Amino acid sequence: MGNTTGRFNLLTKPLRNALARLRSSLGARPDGAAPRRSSLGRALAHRMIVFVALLLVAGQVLVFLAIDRAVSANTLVSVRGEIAVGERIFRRLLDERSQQLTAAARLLTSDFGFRQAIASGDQATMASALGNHGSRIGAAKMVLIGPDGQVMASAGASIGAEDAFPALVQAAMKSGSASAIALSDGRPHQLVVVPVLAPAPIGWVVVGFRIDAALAAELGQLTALDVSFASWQQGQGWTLSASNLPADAREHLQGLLDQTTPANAAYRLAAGAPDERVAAATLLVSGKDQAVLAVLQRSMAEALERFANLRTILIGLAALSLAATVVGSGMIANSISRPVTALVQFAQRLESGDYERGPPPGGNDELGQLATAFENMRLAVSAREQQIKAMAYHDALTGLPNRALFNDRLQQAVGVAQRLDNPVSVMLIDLDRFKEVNDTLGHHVGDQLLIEVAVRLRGVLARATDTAARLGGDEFAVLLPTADEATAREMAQRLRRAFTQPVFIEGRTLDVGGSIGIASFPRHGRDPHVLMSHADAAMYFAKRKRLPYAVYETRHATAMDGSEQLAMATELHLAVSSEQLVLHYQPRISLRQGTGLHAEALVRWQHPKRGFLAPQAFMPFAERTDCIHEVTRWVVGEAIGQAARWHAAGLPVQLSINLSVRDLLGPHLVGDRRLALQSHGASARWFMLEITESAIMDDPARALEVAGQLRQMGFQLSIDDFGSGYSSLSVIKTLPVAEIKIDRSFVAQVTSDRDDLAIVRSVIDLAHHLGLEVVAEGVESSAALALLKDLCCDHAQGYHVAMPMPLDEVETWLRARQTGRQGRPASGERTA
Amino acid sequence: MPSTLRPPRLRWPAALAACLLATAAQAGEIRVEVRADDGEPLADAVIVAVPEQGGAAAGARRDRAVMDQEDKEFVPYVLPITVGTQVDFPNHDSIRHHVYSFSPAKRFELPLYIGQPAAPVRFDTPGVVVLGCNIHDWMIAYVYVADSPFFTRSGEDGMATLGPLPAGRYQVRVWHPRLDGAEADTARALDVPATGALSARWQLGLKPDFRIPRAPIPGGSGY
Repeated sequence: MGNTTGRFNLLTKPLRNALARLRSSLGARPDGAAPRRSSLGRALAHRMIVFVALLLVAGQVLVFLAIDRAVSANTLVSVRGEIAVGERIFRRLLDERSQQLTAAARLLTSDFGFRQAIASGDQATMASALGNHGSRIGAAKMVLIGPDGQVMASAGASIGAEDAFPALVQAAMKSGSASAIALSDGRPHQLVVVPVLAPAPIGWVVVGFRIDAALAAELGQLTALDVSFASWQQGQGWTLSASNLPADAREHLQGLLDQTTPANAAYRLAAGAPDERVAAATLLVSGKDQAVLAVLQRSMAEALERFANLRTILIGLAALSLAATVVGSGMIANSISRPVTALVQFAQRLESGDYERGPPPGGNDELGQLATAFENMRLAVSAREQQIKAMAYHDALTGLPNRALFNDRLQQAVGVAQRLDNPVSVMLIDLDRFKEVNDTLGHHVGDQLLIEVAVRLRGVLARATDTAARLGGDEFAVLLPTADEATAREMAQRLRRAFTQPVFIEGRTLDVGGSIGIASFPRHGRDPHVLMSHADAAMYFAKRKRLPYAVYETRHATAMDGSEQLAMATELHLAVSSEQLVLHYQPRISLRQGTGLHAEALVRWQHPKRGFLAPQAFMPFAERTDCIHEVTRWVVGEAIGQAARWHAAGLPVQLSINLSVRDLLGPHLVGDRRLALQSHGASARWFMLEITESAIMDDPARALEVAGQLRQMGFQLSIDDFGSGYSSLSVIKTLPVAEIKIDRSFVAQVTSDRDDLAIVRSVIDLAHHLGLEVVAEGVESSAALALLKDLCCDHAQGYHVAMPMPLDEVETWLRARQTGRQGRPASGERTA
Repeated sequence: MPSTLRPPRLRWPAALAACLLATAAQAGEIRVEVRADDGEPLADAVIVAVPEQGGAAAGARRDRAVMDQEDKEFVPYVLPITVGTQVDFPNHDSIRHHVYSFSPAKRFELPLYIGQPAAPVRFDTPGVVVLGCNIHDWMIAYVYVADSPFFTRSGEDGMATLGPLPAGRYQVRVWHPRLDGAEADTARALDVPATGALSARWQLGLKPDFRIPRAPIPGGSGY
């Protein structure tokens, strides 16, 4: 995780987001809650952009379709309009053309030479004149009709009755000229009939002009339409005689025409589906056996081409507005999601307990209201938290900080002290006889007493940084940051003085007394727990010794805090039952001639996790709990058993066994020892029971009683650690002990410290005078050994003599010692 | 051609009137009214009376007549003459005219000229001769060559008086340039009394008038 986060920090933000999205899309859990939450605002933005864009696209598609539809419909209408206009133009053009042709024919017939020729009456001359003049105006046909309506001559083709065009000539005779479209030789022609005036009409000339592709093209160009002429003859159907259509469209038109008759052609063509071309048709000639149809068409595709540009512009505009919308909505979404993200971050800060900063400033909109609501929530939560904190960290009765707050402050103070190299001191205060007050005067008195104590504690503390706390029950603590041991002592004195004033409660006068334990950082420990535990040990020591206060010393140590103690109690029980305990033996030598083998049985704990533990590591703890009984029972039993085996094996070793205070004061000690002896068939004389000086002094009367009983059983007794306690010589005098062991603290520097030398010398003298033997412990050099021998010390024990050894080694050592200075040489032997 | 013989200019109506006045006491006359079939008075209609007894010698008179050209028009529009009459075609315009006729009764041509042509044109065959000008298409006039000395022409009011005529029976017929149908169909037999007047009325069906409008620009060559 840490690795991942580290790598992530190297990535750019967008990359990280992309990666996070990718991973969330793959279903992987995001690294933490934060990336997922910050993407919330962005997701909102994305959704908004996508929605708006889709909406726009849909709208534009609809608009586009509507416009496209309208354009198509409109185009159709406009094409129809164009065709209508084109049709009118077409008719007009045909009219004009016939007028032009008429005019041209008139000009032709008014030619004097022509008239002369016509007037000549000679058939050949007339025909040739018709041909000659007809070619001048591009006529396809020239027929001369007499005033009687009979054909007089014609150019080109032979004279036939069908050339008479009687109806047309009749019309011309009435109105001076006439024109029409008619089929001639199966082809559509535009016919013009004009009189030959000399100057009164002497005949009529029919001039025919072919309706051909060139005409269709010309008309097409003028009307901007596709122009086709179709002729129909009875029995032959439609023939597309002239058209400017492309070949395929021509075929298509032919196909359409084939389905019609002259009567319905115009209607059918105009009403037909406007698939490719919109059409209109005019029947120019309609006869029983012939018809000429003019078809005007307009291509839809060409008409729609005009709108192709519009379509491009529409698409361009759509794309432009889409882009603008995406950018715009992105900006709007961002402007929404940014405050949302900021609010989310603010909420995350709240979640992590940071109530210091308010939410990001918001406007007057909904987000601003949300921010205001958040702010109110923050203030309320913060206030409530303060309240809860006060309740959680203070003692309700006295108003002093409770254990939790005290530990907190201690932790901080130690932390600061470690950085700044300051001292820190803690004091633990335990009231004397508080239980009696509670039990005899009632809890309410006890409570008032505690309140009074708290008041006095506060009164004594001078500095604001000092903290007085009630840890529970009648236990108080004081934290003195930056105070060293001396300052702490001073403070303890002041507390002492403050407590000498009696307390008046309900008319009673109560003495307040307490025991104070002091431990200082860094001298007595660098860890808050260790400090507290050491202060506790010192306090316990002070209480035991009825001292006003005690500064921690190593001998008070339990080196364990509460939880460790609890764990160790469990472990110790297990150790006793599962043979994790072993006995090591430290031999001692006699500094006088001829005395026998002696060793002290020392318990070791083969701890499964912590390894080999010396008794100092767990015995002080055991001594303060009932564990000591088990341990002692095991030790004594083991030692008795071993002694019995050695004696049986011919090693008459006398074993020293340590007894603790609790052992001594416990009810079962004597009975247990008796049972143990009996079970191993051992003799009490083989054993020296060592009792510490302090154990005796705790309860001298009980000690005396038990010692007497043990002595009666045959055990020899020894006072251990002599000189470390405050023994009363009178007590020692009355005790049935055989020897005293000088505390190692005196022996260690006996060769260099004159005071120690004086003490050791005095003790030896005193002991000898009382008829006791003296054992010097902690002999660590040959010089010390020699000096002790000179001082007439009876026995020596220490690293220089022999280390504590496991069973097999000590056996070897003892046997070597027994069999007359063979085997492993002992240091004691060298000096002896 | 007797172009050198220049008789005094004589307008035939005047001569005829003098003649009629001279014989008024011994002969009757026919008062003719010609109308179009829509009832309008018809001018320029020619009324010819042919005695049934055949007494009248056609072409016996050696008359002269004039067809003027004034302001690019023939004057008169209709000129009835009797067979053998010589007609002059004086040009009173400042431009040239080219008078022609393709009519079977008299084909002739007076190529471009100014003033008086050298000789008059003699009309020997009865019938209608249509005159045109090759330069000015709209110029048209009719010379009616009658086979009888008794003829007249209706005025603007459609009225004409034929006489004095010797009493007797006449075949009277009417012709007009726009006459629809044959001239012979209009013929009526009328008995002219020795004195006094006889009234006759003709209503004629007409053809459309094919007269070409004048050229819009004076002097320009219209068609």
